Amino acid sequence: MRTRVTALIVAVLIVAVGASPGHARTFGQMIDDATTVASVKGKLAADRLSNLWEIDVKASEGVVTLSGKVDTAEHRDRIAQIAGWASGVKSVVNNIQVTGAEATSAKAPTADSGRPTTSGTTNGATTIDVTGSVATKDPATGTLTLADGRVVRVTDATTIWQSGTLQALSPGAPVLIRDGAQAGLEGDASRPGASRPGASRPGDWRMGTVRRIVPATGELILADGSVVNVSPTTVVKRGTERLTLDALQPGWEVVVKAPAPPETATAEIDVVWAPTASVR
Amino acid sequence: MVSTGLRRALVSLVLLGTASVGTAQVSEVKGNVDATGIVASVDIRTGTVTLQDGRVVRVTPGTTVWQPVTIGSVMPGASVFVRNAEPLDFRPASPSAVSQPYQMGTIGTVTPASSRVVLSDGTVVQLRPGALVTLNGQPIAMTELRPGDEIIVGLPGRSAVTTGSDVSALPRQTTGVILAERIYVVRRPQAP
Repeated sequence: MRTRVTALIVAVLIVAVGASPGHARTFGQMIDDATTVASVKGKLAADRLSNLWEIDVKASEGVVTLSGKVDTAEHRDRIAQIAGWASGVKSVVNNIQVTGAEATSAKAPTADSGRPTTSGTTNGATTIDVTGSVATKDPATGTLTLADGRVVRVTDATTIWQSGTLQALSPGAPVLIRDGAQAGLEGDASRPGASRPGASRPGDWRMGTVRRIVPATGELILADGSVVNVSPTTVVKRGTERLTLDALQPGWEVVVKAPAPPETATAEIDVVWAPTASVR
Repeated sequence: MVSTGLRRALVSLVLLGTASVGTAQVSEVKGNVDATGIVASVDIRTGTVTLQDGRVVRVTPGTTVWQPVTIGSVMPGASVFVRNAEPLDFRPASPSAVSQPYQMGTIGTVTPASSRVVLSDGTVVQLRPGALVTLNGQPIAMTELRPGDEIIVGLPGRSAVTTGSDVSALPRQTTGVILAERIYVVRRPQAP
């Protein structure tokens, strides 16, 4: 009897020692993954645009996989961007499909002028950028009238920026700097994918805003008219998310790493900012 | 003992120097840019802003700095830049223009030789002969139009919008040529 009890205890201990770590880790991963999914869903639910579609979210060790259908590429990218902001997310696999002709035509480049630089569409409506002095506002209807007579409506995709000063800026504050001089590029190990140890020498990089893409010639046209040559080996990414060239959208701000001779195509295109939801 | 301490000090200096080189990474690149992001640090002395994504941008006399506000907090008289807004109406002070159809936009490129302006959204604006171009109510020549100018294009009528067949061989169904009767320049980038 005593021998049987001892054998049972030993058996339990063997199972506990042998299996517990594996089960505990798996269980911990499950908890972490569930937390990550909940975090992503919470972020998506808080966003009115993303809330319009049913998006399936899965997570495994910080890698979030999104699937579902949306109407435009902008919304697909927007949802992936929001998911990337959720806690616990290390990378996003965006399997969301774009349906409808609107997205297809919006992504089509033109030979003459290209896609929009700073304006686009929101749910089919044309949008513009305007700069001026506020004459009147009507928060109830979301309309702003400028002193020059232009009247615009603020939508969920709109951001209102007010003129400020350098002195008023503080770390952590969101900012838009227009017509600034490119002064440098620092690696930032705290942000995944942001470190650019090889991009610090003069001429190794440049900043810009996407105007349009010419897939046929493998060219990225920046807002200032400069042309960036892209090859199949060029790395296009946003944070840790790898992108294809045609995923780049007008208005996105990028850092372009120059090729190492004798290469002529740029080595890397890093999307550092993309339009997001508004501050209404 | 002394030499060991000296060696350690030298090593520390070398490491410090390496770290400095690794984080300074400031090099001037020509061409002004727009940069949106979160401020990591500000150096008032050099007029530079470092964003969290690593970009370092220097503020020049032609640079403007903007911070986001809500429509509820923005005050009349404030200078604003409204991104991705829906155009609703144009009510200029001059009553003569009120009844005219119009389109708002930002100039991407100007080709005076062909009397064409391409807006940043890809729309091609063809100026009719004798089309009036004004800046602050004063007539200007088409050659004075600049990329970045925000404009109102006064249209002669609905029939003035043509199809995009002469614009591009590639599919962009919504792009067309707009025949402009008048162009109001309502805002232009600050001169450096």
